[in-house]
Amino acid sequence: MALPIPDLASDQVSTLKRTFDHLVSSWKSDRGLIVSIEKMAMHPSYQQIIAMGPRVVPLLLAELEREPDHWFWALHVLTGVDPVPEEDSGNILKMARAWKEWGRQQGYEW
Amino acid sequence: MSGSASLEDCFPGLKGFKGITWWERSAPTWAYNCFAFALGRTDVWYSPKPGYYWPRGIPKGQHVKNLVLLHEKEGFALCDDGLLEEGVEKIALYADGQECTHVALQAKDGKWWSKCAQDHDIEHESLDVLVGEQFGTIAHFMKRARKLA
Repeated sequence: MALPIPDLASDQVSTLKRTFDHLVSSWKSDRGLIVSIEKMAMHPSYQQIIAMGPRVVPLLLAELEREPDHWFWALHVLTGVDPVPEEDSGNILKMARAWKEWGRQQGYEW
Repeated sequence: MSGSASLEDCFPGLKGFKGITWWERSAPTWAYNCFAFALGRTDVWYSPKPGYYWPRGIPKGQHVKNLVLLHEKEGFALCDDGLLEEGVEKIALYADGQECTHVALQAKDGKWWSKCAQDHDIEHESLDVLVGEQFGTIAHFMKRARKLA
């Protein structure tokens, strides 16, 4: 079930975006070269992004569009869904495309 | 990859020897990881986690014994070392404890190829340069007959 899209005041959106961007940058610079998706997702910055809650879903979708990366764990935890067809499993571009398509269908904007 | 730590930051053994004992072979990409690359694939990221590619019949988990099984199903068998043998393709499995962290593929000339997570794939003369905090130690060698090009 899709979660409702939060309605935030513009200053809250700016703060949210700044915090999100900082955590994304921290995660990318600090995660090293690990192959484990679990270890990537357990990184403190990644966990803090998840802890920000469903309001970061459009930001994650925008990040997938800017530079596809392993945000799928976070999106799955925050939304409870997995829109990626089995035949596309592991294909990062197709996984990103499936999530963005799902986001548009849910009415997210980014 | 925006903001990522450099290879030399992650592997001190590489520092200062770029172009001497190791070389970048491709641009960084998140499209595939070392598990895929060692099996000739550049279109998927292998992971036992939901949503990612993991071969059917292989227990889900990155325990090194699962990666041994995965490669056995691809025709590899455990062997004693990474020394170059005519007509033989070898891989080296790295592990941190019991978790497989990396697979390096031996090229025809005996050098090694490694796809370093989301970063470059590199060619390196020694397997030891990747031993350390990121990848742990070399846990196993495996080999199979080298496929004809």
